[in-house]
Formats: sequence, structure tokens, C-alpha cells
Amino acid sequence: MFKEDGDEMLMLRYQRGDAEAFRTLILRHRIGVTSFAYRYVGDSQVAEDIFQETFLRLIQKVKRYKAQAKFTTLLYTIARNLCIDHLRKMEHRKHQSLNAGGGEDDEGSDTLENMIPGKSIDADRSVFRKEIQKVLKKAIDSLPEEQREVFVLREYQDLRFREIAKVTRTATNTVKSRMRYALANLRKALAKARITEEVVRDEVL
Amino acid sequence: MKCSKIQDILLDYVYGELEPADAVKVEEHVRVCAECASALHEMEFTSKVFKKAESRVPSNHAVENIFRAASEALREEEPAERKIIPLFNRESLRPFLVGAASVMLIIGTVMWIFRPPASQQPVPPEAVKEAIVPTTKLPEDDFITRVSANPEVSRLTSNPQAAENMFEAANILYAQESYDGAFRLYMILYKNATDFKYNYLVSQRIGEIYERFGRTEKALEYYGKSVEQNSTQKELKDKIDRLNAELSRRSS
Repeated sequence: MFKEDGDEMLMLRYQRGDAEAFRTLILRHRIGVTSFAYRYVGDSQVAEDIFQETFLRLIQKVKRYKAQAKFTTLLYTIARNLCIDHLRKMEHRKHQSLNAGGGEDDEGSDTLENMIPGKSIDADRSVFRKEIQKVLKKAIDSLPEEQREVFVLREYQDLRFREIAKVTRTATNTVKSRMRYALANLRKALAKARITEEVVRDEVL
Repeated sequence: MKCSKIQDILLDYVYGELEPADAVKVEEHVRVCAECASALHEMEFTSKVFKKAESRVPSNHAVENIFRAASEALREEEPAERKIIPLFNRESLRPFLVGAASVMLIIGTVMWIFRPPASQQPVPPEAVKEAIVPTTKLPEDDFITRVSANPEVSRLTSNPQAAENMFEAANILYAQESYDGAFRLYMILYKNATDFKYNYLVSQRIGEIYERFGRTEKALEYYGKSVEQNSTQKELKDKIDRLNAELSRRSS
């Protein structure tokens, strides 16, 4: 039923006392979980904490683990709950900083033209790349939470829509609809920052 | 297929979640429908660009923290409940085997020191026979008294790490069904390492071995001690009740 080196099998091996199997799981998913948390909460240090906490919770759950569902569904359910907890805790503070930070008033301030001195792309590719990364991060951060989690789980964590539905406890159709909105919003953010096909074709990213 | 139907499944197409037959339909449709082709293109472009957003790699420190916790969780788990000791995993077994070997060496020495006087030793052929044939007998009380009276042994077992090694060695012998060897080690722990954190498991294992040898009353005695040492063992309590019932049925 399960692949020999599949996540579920590794989990069962850990359950039977094989610590190395768990190490493989950690290594396999460390970037996925940390990046997921990073995109969810927007802070590297918090993301690393959530990565740790996710696996620590997994350890607590291992005795009752039955390998009935896909491992990543369980993994990202735990990670997501931790992200939500964190954001709820931060909500108050976030509100304050948002009010102070003037939201939509900075129209045009982060287009590529404004960020790259003299528009000379070749002049400093690494600066350019960094700036594009900023645009991408900001665009993801600006998505409503329900769109963001769906988008991140599908785009980066490679969960299928019905798996995302399980993780987020919503209907698959709702998940897909949120994904469509997310893509549309992100597309707008790209247009606003003038990240065009030509820019991407140059493969500067 | 109509545009509305295509628009419905476009998203699944972009993320490779469509059945091949439906995927072909989408491909055929976008070849002739500019509107759907554009919608598809927008999605694919957005996905492609955002795919390149930086990921985050956690520090090795974080990875090691988790791994340490994972290993500790295994150790804290009650070994008696571990149905399968991972004998197939040689890497993880190595320290235990080393531990087992050294413990057996110590036991051997102890037993040699406390061997019965020469006159009481059985004649060689029988001794040899006994050594070759796996024992189905338990080392009895004289062994236990001799060992527990030995200050060397008690000093050894008062060291938590040594006690733990001995416990692991005993568990391995038990898993390999070398009950007499396991019994000796458990007994040494039982008599000497009274503060050992798994002492209740030691008592339980001694009980189990007695039970295997049909000594139900002895088994009950040690199960009872195990419950005294750790009263949270519901399953064991049930077992005690069951065995008691069995005993009274047998005697009546």
C-alpha cells in the first residue's frame, strides 16, 4: 500500500523505534514546512520556530499515527494551525502597524523602475533579483489569509486541491475558487510592479 | 466543450490534476479559443513567476533539535510496549550490541567469581550439555542472592547509564527469546537498581518470564510490584485480574 521510502512508511518505521527514519522525514520536509510557514507568517525566525514546533507535535502524535491519510496532509495541518495561532497572537500588533503604514498610498513606489537605478537590468542582476523577490513576497503577504494558504499549499507544497481541502477543512470547490482569486490577485501585483513576460524570459530570477 | 466548462477545469489543468483525457480536451480547446487560451496563459505565467519565490531553509540547529527530541521520545517510550525491536536496523542496534556484549562480559565475570565451590560443580559432560542446549530453566534464588550481595554489581547498577545499557541488553535477549539470560539481567537490575527509571518495566518483564515458564504465582508477584512502582499501567492491572481469576479457577 505504501512505498518503501514513502513518508507514511518512514513514519511507521519511526513509530517502531527507528529514529533515522524520522531524520529522513525532517530532512525531506524541512524546506517545505519552513517556507510554508515563512510565506504564511512572513517572518524567517518565526517560520523556523514553527518548523520545529510542527515536528515536535508530530513526535507527540506518532504513537497514534495510523498512516490512513497522506503524511503531508497531517504535516501541513499541524503547520497551518501553528501559523494561524501565531497570526492571531500578532493580530493586535499587526493592526497597529498596518494603520500606521498607510496601506495603498504607496502607489507605484515598488515598481521595478523605481527600484532599479537607471533601469539597467544587467548592471546589477543580484540587486534586481532581490527586488523581484521583494515584490513576490509582498504580493503573497498581501493576499487574504484564506487565499494565501491555498495558494502556498498548491504552488509550493504541491498538495492537491482535495488535500488542501482536508488541511483547511473546506470544500474542494471552495479551495479552487480561492486559488483562482489568489492567482488573479497575484497577476495584478505582477502587472503593478511591471514584471512582464520579457523580464521573466530573461530568466533573471 | 464549451468555454464555461473549460474555464471550470482550467485550474486543474494548470496544476496537473486533470485526467489525461480531459487535459487533451483543454489543449484542443485553447488552440481554437483565444479567450480561454489567454486565461490559461495568465494562470501559467503567474504560477511560473511565483514558483521562483525564495524558499526558506531552516538552520541545522533546528533540524538537530528536532532529531534529538525524536530520539529521546523513543527512549522515553515504554520499551515493554515496543512490539518490535528494530533488529533490522544495524546502525541503531550497534550501541546496544556493544552494551549487551560488555554487560554479558561483566555478568560472566560476576558469575565466575561467585561460581559454586568446585566440589558442587557438575561433572564436565553435563555442564557442557547445559551450555549448548538452550536453557529452559530459570536461574533460581541462589543466583539472585549471590548477585545481589555483590558490592561490585550494586555499584555498577547504581550508575543510571550502566543500568540503562543493561536494560537494553536484557530487552534484546528477551526479544531473541533468550529468557534465562534476560532473566538474569532483569534480576540484577531488580535487586540493585531500585531507583532505575524503568524499574516497573523490569518487574513486569520478570513477571512475563515467570509467566512463560508457567509460574503464574511468581508472575503475579512481580506484576504486582510493577504496578506498585508505576500505578498508571491499566493494561497490566487488567492482566493481573485475569491471571488471578485464572488461578482461582484452577484451584477450585
